[in-house]
Amino acid sequence: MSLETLFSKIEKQSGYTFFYRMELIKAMPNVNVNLKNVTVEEALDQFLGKLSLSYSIIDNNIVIKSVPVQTNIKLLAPRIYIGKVLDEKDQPMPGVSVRVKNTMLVVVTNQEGQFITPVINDDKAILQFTYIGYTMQEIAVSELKVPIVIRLKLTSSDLDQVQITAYGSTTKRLATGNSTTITAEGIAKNPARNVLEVMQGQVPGLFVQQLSGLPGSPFNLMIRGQQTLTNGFRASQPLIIVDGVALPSGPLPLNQNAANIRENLNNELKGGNPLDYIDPSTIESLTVLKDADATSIYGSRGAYGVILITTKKGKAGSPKLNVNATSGLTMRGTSPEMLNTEQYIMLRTEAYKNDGTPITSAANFSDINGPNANRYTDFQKEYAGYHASVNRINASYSGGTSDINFLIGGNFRKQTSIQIGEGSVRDGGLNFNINNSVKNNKFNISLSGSFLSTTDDAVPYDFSQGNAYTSPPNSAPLFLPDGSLNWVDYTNNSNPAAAQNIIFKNITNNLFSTLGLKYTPVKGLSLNANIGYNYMNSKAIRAQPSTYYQPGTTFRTTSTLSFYTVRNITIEPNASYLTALGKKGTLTVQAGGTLQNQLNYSSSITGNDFLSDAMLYNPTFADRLTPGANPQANIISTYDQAPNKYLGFFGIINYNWDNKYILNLNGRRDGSTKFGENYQFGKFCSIALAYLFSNEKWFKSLLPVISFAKLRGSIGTSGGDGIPNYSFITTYSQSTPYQGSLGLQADNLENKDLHWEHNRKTDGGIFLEFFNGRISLDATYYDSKTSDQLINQRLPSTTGFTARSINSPAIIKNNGWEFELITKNLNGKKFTWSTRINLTLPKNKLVAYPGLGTTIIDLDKVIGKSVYGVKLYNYVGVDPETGLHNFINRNGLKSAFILPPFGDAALDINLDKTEYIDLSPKFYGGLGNSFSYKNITLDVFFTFTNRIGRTYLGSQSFPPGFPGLNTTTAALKRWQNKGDEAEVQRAGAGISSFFAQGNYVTSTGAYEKATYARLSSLNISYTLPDGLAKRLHLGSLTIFGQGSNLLTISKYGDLDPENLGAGMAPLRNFSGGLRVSL
Amino acid sequence: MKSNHIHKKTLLKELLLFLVIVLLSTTGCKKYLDIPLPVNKIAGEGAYSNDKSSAGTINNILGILAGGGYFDGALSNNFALYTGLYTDELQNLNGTNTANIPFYTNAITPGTSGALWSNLYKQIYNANLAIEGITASTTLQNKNQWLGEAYFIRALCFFYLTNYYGDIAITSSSNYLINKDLPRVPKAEAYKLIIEDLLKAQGLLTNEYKDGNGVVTTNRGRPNKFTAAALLARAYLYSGDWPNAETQANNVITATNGGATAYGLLPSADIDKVFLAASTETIFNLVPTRVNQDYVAYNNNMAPELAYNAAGNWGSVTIALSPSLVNAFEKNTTTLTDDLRKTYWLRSATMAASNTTPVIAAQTNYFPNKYRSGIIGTENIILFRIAEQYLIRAEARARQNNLDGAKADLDRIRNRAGLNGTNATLQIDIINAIIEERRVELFTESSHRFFDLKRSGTIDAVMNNVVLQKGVGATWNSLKQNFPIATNDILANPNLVQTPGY
Repeated sequence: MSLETLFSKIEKQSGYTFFYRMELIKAMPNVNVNLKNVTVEEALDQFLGKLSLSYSIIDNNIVIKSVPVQTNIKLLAPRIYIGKVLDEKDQPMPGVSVRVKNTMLVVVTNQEGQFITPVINDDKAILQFTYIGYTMQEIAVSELKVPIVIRLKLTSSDLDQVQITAYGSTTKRLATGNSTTITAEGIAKNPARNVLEVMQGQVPGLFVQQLSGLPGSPFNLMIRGQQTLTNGFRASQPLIIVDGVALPSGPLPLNQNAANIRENLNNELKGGNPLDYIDPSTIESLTVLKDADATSIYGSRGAYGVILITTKKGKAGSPKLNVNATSGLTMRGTSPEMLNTEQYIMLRTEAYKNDGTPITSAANFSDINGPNANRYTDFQKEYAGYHASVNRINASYSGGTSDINFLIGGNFRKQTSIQIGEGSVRDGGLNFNINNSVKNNKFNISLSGSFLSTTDDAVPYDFSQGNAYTSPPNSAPLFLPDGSLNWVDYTNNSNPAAAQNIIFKNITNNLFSTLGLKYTPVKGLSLNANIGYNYMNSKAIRAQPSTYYQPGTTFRTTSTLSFYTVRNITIEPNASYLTALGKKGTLTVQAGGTLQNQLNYSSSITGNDFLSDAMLYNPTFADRLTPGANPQANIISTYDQAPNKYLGFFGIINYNWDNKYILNLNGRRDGSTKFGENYQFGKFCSIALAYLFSNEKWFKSLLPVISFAKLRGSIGTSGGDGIPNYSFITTYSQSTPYQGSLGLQADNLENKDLHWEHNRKTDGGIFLEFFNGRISLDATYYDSKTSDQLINQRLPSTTGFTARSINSPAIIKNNGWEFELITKNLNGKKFTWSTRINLTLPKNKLVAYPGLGTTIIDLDKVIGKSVYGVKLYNYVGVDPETGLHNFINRNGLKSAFILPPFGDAALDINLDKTEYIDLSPKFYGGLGNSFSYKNITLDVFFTFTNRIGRTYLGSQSFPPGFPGLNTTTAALKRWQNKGDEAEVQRAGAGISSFFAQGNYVTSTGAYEKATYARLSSLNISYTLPDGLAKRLHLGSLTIFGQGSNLLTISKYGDLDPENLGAGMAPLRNFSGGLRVSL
Repeated sequence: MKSNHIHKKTLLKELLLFLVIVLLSTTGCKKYLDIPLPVNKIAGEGAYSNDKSSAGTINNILGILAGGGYFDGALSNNFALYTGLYTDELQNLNGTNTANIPFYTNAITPGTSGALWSNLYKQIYNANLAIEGITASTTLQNKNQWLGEAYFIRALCFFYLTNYYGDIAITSSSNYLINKDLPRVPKAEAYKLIIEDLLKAQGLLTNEYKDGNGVVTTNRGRPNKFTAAALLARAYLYSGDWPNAETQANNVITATNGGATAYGLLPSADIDKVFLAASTETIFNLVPTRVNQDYVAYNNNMAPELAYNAAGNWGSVTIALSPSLVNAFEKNTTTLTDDLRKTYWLRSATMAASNTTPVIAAQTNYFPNKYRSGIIGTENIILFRIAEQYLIRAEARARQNNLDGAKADLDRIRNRAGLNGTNATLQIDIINAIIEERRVELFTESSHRFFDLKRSGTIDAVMNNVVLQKGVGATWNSLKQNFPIATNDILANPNLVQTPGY
């Protein structure tokens, strides 16, 4: 029989499939074989040898080749290629995409790692194999050897790591823009609740500051420096996009006056961050876009940088269940060490001695000599000294074929509070993803969704602010021995611990879903559409029940129920076309649009005075009958609704010449409902060039140690529309009534000329890899100029207003250097050690601000200085004679400046602030080391920042020794006797030390370097050897221990050098857990 | 293993397809950006599309004038209080009240002159918007009423502005691009606009009083035709147009409504009822929005119950009438009885001598008692009443040498207060008697005393004496009769020059 017949017989009997070249087999003579009870191998051995053919078995496939086996296939187009992709451990790799280079022909390997290419009619075609985390491989079909087995290597450098871009992806090798990616693996190494915490110190050019350690607190994010005139926290927040859907911008909750806020904090600290409502375990990658090339495509929204988040997707392969469970503890971070009772009494006594006041038995000296003067309570510990538990579990189940694959996942976290009072923050969520491709990948559809519900019923009060520090250590205990609130010593509702009885519950639900469609009608053209839907809503109750008040006093219980909803629909159609152009060039053209429709609702009901605490949950049950007052005044309700629409068109042109020269052009036209008719649309564009000069022949011979070198640069514009809606028209709102009839008042001065804020970014960088990726260095210089800032300009009263929104003539310049160095120090079989270090050196300058000091009164702004800073009095130390802080005023006069009539002169709040302190960071970055020995890995990550902050002593308006107020042990370095050269002024309870301290708080003396290095995360894990795991019927098992904020190295005084005392210091976290894959 | 069939399409065709997609997505994009307006706001001309919202824009101004402290007791902007302290009407009992002291010591600065300037311009802006919006609207039933009210309000605000600040900027439109650069212009131009506005208002408003729905009411809380006339009479008088001042005052005095006299002086026996809400002496009053503090409010924050304590100070009572004002009340030369206004419109309180060393002697102080009810709705804030119109007509007649007519009007006021008729006979004496009468009739009302001193040219002579009596380091110079403008305004508008002397 013919070989062909024989093979088909064997195929039928054994289930194997034969692969062979027809012309090879046809040329063979017929064979006579009699095969009984032999294996396929034996059978083949029997007859193939005679025919000078060889075979190889790959899983169920038998490939027949002529001998010698290793011959180049001399091909004639058209052909298909069948092969298999393996990883470094020779395990098949499903889900690898195999693309015919410069075409849209893509296939994906199946569960066994096999692929069958479409028909390729070009024998110069090149196949590209890509998989996230693995080095991309390119092989010309002419070089393929049968059997076609491709081995992908784990990415040894970041060079071929896939980088997500606005409407596609690229690699670090080919990227023209500046962006940094953090992967799921990196996120998993940090036990942080919010993914922003993970990003800290990881991304050059991104400054992340955790403002408070309490769960659900906001972060300060700054990409490449402060670009707004508004100082400080959350001034220029980047755009965050999750799977193509923009997160609500601005702090949450949207209704700042509603109940779901921590009540005793500055506005900056109220509300949380939208990323709190996305579980880090569902994130696949996070990319920070910085320069014009990467952000211009976001047009009006990209001025302050963009963060792109993609969620986890299903992967082809046999179904796998991954479970990750973590359990741990959090506790209080850095906080000032306050005086103990002995020290407190010492300073108090000294204060009166300094003031010349005799200490008597009068009541105001009772904290010195009263019957209870010897009491001691560590109030910080009392208020916030608890160990809180953190428990997390997440699981995902994923699998499928190359045609259809899926992922379903679930997660749950619970974090209790380190403060007094019951309550915790609990999150539970589900996520899924389905991908389907039909007709040889001509049509792809994917649907993802995630839902997270967060319940926060922890006490909505930051006990670290105020009393925890300033209560004298011998104050009465907050609780009586029976555990009840101490109302005996704290009369008139003055027990701060009563805040623990505030009823609070905030339930926030966040639904994200994205539908992706892709149609490839013809080679090179692909039509895509992305439809996203985000629905976030929150319901919160905050009530002060009767237990909040001292029994027996007059009080009115109060309760507020508030709601908000953000609904955001994004539709993004686009088309891309890829074609060869020129001899070695590839041209990609992409164009599309964005439609965004956002609608915010918020409402609240407040009720005062309830018959019973049981009714607090329904504020409409408040007292309606208070005599003498408007009967409805006890129930107040609000409602607001704000629509916001946005429209944009974009085009991208990318031209790649022989992987040597890459040109990328972006253009965008955006329309926003925030501006008047003439300025609704704005145009933004960028141009970028990359030159991969290591691909030059002369370079390869000249500098062989450098394995890769790229120069790139970009220039472009982006914009911002950070103003309230309807600023361009006159609007009226309900106002003062008259004679029982409603009043209507114009509340906005129209400005039809308002237009986009403007940001021009320039960026240049060099990327070098030495010794085949053992060392890589990325250095970038950036420069951005921000102008046309939307600000309020002062107007004369004759206009009926005191200010109006205008595009400011101020120009802010940000420039700086960003470095990233990755070294693979040791790369042995058993032991590996790699180091990543990044450093950012930012500079910020107010270049121009016409009208500053006249039409624009902006006290802390100085031309030529950073925009983020303060003007201060000139502090010259403690006077050795008087023991008081001394300052020099604008006329050179040195004094403590006590306000007349108590002293001779006071400082002028405007004129005498002669000094300027820049509060923006001078440099920041991170240093990570990863070690692995056999199955044990250790990751240590340090972050570091150099900046200036105010000390705790410098923020206290009362001098040490002042009655009723405690201070830090830093105050022990006080002046004591004439002639002392001291750092801290004398203890004093009198008016002169009080005024001198008051001046000190706004002087240069109150500030010091807040430079620190922090062991921000540590992760040690042990993975069971494969064999052992198999025997336990596990795919893999990893046991790990994690910690965050474990150690801080800083000379900065008392407060946490990161949040500088703005709220509760970032918490420490110790966790352990295991990761199982089945 | 079949081969793919590849369609060969030209680049051109594909680009066409491309364009179709882009075109499809751009269709109607302009329309897409027309968002619905916010649910809690009205945009632009929408505010004037119906009567209720148009009236709302006027309600807002009247409500602010009634509750914002302009004419009532809120300390921050109180015209009557500040000018009373500034002149010879009030004395300051509390030596540490940082808001009152600069006025009492005649030492106001751009930083301490209160927010009168900006608050009045705010209401003028509101009135300008209303005038523009209502004029353009074609859908209003009571268009004339709202427009007349807006013109009246604009005139009223400019009247006070020019009398406080002298030369002022005239903002006759709502356009901030114009208003932000306006310089000050002579007072006469302000009066020109005030009179024009009031004549318009007179033509638009009706004899009857209307409410916020345009329905006729007895409540005198919104201006009518005669309110416009009353302010016109005042404006003509202040600008020296005596015949017109007389005509307009006469218009009010002789006004009829439904056949009966609209306004009339109450008999002497009812002098304690002049300030009640139902008083027929009232031409226009503002209905306060505050609920519990009417009494305190009308009497310039002087509490009804004197909450002074025994330790030698007046506690929360910060202001009393000046002794010179109390002494200005005459007696009936025949019966030797007090001026009824002193009996009924003043009240006194005595604080016992202190038990401290040194002893602070017992003190008696007088307080205004024109408004005395603590009950909502009993009294309103009166801006125009008939007594002033008699005095305006008296002065206008005296200035035109109609001395008998002048005396007749003056004596009506004097007789009602239980006094004999004036014994002045010369023109100058009669005019002075009228000014003196205004002092005791209109005390602590709407800055009358301050304005009278200014327009009669006697301010320097009077104040040079008053600053000595005050004895708190107060000094006077003629430039102080005009108030300074806040520094922010000067900085924000380079064309705006600070009031001379500051």
